[in-house]
Amino acid sequence: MVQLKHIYKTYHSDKHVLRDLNFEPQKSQFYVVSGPSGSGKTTLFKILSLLSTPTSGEIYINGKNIKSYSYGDQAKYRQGVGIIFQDYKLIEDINLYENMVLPLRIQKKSDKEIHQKAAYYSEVLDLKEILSEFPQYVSGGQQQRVAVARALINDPSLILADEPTGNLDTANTQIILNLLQQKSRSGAAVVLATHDENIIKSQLGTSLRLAEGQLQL
Amino acid sequence: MKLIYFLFITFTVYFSGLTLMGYQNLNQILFSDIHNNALGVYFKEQISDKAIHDYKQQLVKNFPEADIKYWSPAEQYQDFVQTNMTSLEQSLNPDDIISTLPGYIEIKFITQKEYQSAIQSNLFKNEIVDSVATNNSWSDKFSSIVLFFNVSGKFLFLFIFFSTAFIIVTAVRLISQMRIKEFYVRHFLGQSYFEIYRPTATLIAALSVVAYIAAMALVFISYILLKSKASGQKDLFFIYKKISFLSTDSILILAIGLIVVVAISLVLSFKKVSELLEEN
Repeated sequence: MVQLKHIYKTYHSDKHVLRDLNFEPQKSQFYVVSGPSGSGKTTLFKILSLLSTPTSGEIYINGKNIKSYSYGDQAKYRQGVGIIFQDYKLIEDINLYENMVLPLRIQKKSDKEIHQKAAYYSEVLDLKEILSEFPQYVSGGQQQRVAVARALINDPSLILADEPTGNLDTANTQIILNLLQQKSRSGAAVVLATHDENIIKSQLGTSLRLAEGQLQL
Repeated sequence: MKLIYFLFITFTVYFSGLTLMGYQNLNQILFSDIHNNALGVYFKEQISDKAIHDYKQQLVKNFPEADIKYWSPAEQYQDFVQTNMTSLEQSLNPDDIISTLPGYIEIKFITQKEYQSAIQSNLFKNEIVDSVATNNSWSDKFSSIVLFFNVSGKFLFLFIFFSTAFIIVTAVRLISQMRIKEFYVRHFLGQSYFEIYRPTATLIAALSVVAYIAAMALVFISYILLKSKASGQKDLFFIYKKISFLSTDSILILAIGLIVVVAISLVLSFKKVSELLEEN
C-alpha cells in the first residue's frame, strides 16, 4: 500500500497546498476526506496515484521509495488504483462501453472477463441502455456512473473518489456508496473526498479533514 | 487536422525536394543538350535521312560545319545509356525507346553575339523542323536562379531544414494537443507512454510517408514540365530519360530523406506526448 511521508506541494512560491502531510491508507479501510474548495483534496489524490510529484517529501509503495520506480513501474502501480474524477474524464471519441472497460483493455484481459465485468457494472449502475452512446450525448449523472464503473471494474486495491456523487440523485448516490463500501469490505482502501454533509455525517468510515495542508482526524 | 498535417508535410517536402533536385539536376536539365551559346533544332517525326542531310547542308552555308552536329535517335540513345540510364531502363528494348526519339541538330556558337544573331534570323525555319530550342529568354532567366541555388544552396538547405522542422513540430503539437485528454485518461489508467503514443505515432508516420512520396512525385512531375518548358521538347518520355532524378545518388537521398522525415515525426510526437502528460 502507498505511504506519504512529510509531503509538501507548492504550486506558487507563496502557496503551500499540502504542508508536511502524512498519510497511509490501510487495506479494507474507508476514509472520508472533507475540506473547503482549494484545500488540496485533488492534489492529494494526484500524489497518491503518482500523477503529480510532491515538491518535497517521500512516497513509499509497499515499503519501497518511488524514487527508484521507473515510469513502467509507476504505470503498473497506477493500474491498481481506481480514480474517479470530479469531471469524469471520459474519452469523447469512444462510446460509454469502451470507456467503462478501458482499464481491462489496457491490462489486456480476456474478452470473456471484460464482458462479464461490463455486464455486472452496467446492471448495478443501470447503464445498459446508454452504453452504445458517446459521453457528450448523455447527462452528467450518467457520465458520473460510467466513470465510477471504470474506476472499479478492474478491482483496484486503492480507490480514490473525488466527489463521486456530485451529480447524482439520492438513489444513485446510495448505490455508489454501497459499491464503494463493498469494495472496502473486500480488501480495497477507499479514499472519498466530498463536500456532502450527509455523507460526512453518515460515518461510512474514518472521517478526515484536510485543512492547512494537513489531514486531521 | 490530419489533412492539414498531410498538406503541411507534402508541400514542405515538395519545395525542399524541388530545391534539392534543382541543386543536383538543374544545370543538367537545362543545359545537358543545349549548351551555353548553343541551340537545338528538333525535327518532326518520320523525317527521312535525306531531308535532314539537305537541311544540314543549308545550315553549313551559314555556319562552320564543325559547330553543327546531328544527333540521330540511335546516337542519343547511346549517349544516354553511357550517362544516365538506370538498370530498369537498360532492360527495355532499345528499339522501343529509339523509335520515340526525334532527331535534332545541335549548333554551337563561339560568341554570344553570333548566337543572338542566329536566333533572330529565319535560318532554321523549314517544313521538317518541329521546334527550335534556345537557352534564351525564359531559360536565361532560369539560369540565374540556378546560379542563385549554386551560390546560396547551403543557406537555402539550412533554411528549408529549419522550416520543415518547425512545420513538423507545429503539426505534431496540434495533433497531440487535440488528443491530450485521451492521453491523460490512458495515463492515469496505467497505460505506458509507448502504448499511449503508438496509435498517434503510427498515424503521424503513415501521414509522413504518404506525404513524402506524394511530394516527391510532385517534384518529379515538376521537373519533367520544367524541362519541357526549358527545351521546347514536347515528348515527356524523352525528357524523363534525360533527367538524372532516378540515379543511384538521388534514390539514396530520397530514401534518407524519407527516413529522416519519419524519424523526426516520431521523436517529436513522442516528446510532445510525454511533455503534455507531465504538464497535466
